[in-house]
Amino acid sequence: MSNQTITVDDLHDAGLAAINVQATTTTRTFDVFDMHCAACASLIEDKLRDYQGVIRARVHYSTQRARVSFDPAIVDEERLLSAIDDLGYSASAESSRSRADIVKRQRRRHIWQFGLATLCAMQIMMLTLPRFLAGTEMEPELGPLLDWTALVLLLPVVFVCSRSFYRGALREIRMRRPGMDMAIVLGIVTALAGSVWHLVVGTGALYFDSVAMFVALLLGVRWLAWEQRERNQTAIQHAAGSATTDTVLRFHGDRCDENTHAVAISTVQPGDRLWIRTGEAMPVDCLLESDGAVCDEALLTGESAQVRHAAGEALIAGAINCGGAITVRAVATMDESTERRLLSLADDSEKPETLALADVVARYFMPTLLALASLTFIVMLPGGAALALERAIAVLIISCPCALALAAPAAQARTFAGLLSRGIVLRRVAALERLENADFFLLDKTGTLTTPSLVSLTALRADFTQTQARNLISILESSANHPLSTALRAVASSEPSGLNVHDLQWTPGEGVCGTVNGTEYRLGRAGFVHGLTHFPRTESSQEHLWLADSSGPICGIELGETLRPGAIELVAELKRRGSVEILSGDHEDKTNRIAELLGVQATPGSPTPEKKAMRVKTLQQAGHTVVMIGDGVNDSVGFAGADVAIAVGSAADATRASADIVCTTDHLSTISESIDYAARAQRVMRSNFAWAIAYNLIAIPFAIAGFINPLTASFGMAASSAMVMLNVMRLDVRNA
Amino acid sequence: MESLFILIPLALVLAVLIAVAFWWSTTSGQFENLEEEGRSVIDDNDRA
Repeated sequence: MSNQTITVDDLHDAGLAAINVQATTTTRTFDVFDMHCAACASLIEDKLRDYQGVIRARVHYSTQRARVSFDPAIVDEERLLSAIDDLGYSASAESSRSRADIVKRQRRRHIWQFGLATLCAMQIMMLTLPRFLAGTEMEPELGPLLDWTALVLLLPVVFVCSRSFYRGALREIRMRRPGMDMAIVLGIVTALAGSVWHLVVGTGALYFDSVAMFVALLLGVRWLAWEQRERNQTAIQHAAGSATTDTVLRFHGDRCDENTHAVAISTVQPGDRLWIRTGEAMPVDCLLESDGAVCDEALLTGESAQVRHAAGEALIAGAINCGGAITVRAVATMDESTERRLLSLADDSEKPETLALADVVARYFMPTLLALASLTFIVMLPGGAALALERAIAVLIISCPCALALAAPAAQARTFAGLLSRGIVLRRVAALERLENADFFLLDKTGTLTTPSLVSLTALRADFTQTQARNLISILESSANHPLSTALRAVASSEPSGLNVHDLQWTPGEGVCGTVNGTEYRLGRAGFVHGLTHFPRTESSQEHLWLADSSGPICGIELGETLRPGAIELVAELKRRGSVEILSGDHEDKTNRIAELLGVQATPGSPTPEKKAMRVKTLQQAGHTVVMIGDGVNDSVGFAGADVAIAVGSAADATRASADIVCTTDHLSTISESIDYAARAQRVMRSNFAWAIAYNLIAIPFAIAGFINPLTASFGMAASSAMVMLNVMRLDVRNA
Repeated sequence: MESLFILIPLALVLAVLIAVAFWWSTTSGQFENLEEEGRSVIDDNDRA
């Protein structure tokens, strides 16, 4: 769980490469098409890593993308793209236009191949029918005519439509990992060779119809699988892109007051110089050019204290500038920055699991299948070569490992897209299984169950009205992003205040000062407000803030906390699944009050992060599967120990290192939704496996015994794969 | 039955013609946007 997926170091590398001529790393994202399983991804990865000059290569099956860092002096993008092409996949440097083009071309190819194969298969079936119906009554000259015509119709099926299978089989030979394409090609070649031999010698059964149907149905299944992946892809892009129309100030030259234009964030290119004002968030990943900056990265790293950066340091998209205005240089586009956050998720443990499965298929299933087919042929040989061949072909065709090979990746890719369409980022697939068995839920309080809220304004000075004070508070907090600021902003009256604010300066942990309509105001803790005016320091709790101008305090602000919408429902939902406990480092009586309100227990004694981790351990030793839910702040230690860690918060939270599942929306309902979905996904995956295994266990003996002829076998094969695909469709992906 | 000796080759030619027509329709994008066209028929918003 210590895998740090956030790429501050990466970012720094990439940034240096963009700016420093001496630096040598470029990072590119490619779209990769035609990957069938996680094994394909690892094959491409290995191939890319073999190239000199490639520093890092990561290929994701779920997202159908490759990220490669390389030295442009040694190897270039074209070479890498053609390397992927050589393996039999197509790849394009990522840009939505070329992607759309490739998708269009691929869809056309799928339709064309499937349509042509179906057309030919139907014609061939029609030509084989007379033999079935008429049998020996048929005129002897008619037989060869029908058979040879069928063979002519089979040619396009074998030479045009099946090309992708040959390419796949070649690929599997090259990677020494026999897979489904091998089985397909073996089936096609054996059946075709046997039939042609029978046709030439004039006796024996012909399997033209079986071959044609086999190919047509396979292409149909492949098309279905492709369409589904494509749809997942769209869902992912939608979530990652959630295109913003916000603008940022871009400038040319040395001085930022000349040639400064507001441009859409989506048009920012690496190398652009940007002017980030106080309170603005970094629109893209960038490097700091000014001497220093103070940023709030709470939403990105879970670090609540503001972070100081020196010139040349990397700033992550989403970090909020709390100090004075700064200049930065972009090192990535908006899409790349967002993607970096969202796509770090397919990493980690997903890979070994799916790979392990592909290995099982390759290592045990395929050899067993080939052995069974050969054995069948040898055993049946005394009964005649024709009979032996028919049985062997039936075995090969019916047991195509498609269903087995598709069972896990199809379900996982669908789960991933389905959760993402709900704003839930699945970081580790393994978490799904553990989540299903979860029986103990530990909830963080502040930021998860509650939000800070304003209780009332106290000690209002006589020359201000309640509304005026509220409007001032609201505008001073207007560009901040803390939960507290959001609470304070909400106090504004609904009418437009007509106030203008500038020179906003934030002091970390203290407060904010700014000039509103020409007058300077401060809002914050007593000590901070004291700097502007002389007013008596008072005993004040942490939740007490002041608003003041130069002539003294205007009003005090009493703060409390309220339950977030959906908190009660969430706890009720979790209670049905297991025990619920609130684990908060806050004052014990405050935690108890909330716990009482929700009807659950609270861990006594305001546990520190270490004690939280201990609590998790104790529960695990007692045999519980522990889920920890928090907003990530102060939770990372506990997160790392928990069986499943769920982080709640905004989209930027996807970078949080130790969470297994990240809910990127603010709605607490997504948590119980993700638990539901996880359970459903597990059921679907299990039923996929059960189906694929049961199908093979039943179908193969039947084929050996001769109950199934090759034609029926090809229908059985297609049905088994289609069942897997259709089963996966039960997991819904929401249309955005 | 003799007619079959003409009809079967004829069927082959017909199959080729259909294949060519199908090839044209896929490459010219006739199968793209299948859902949208169907929906547009019952979509009232496009009335001028």
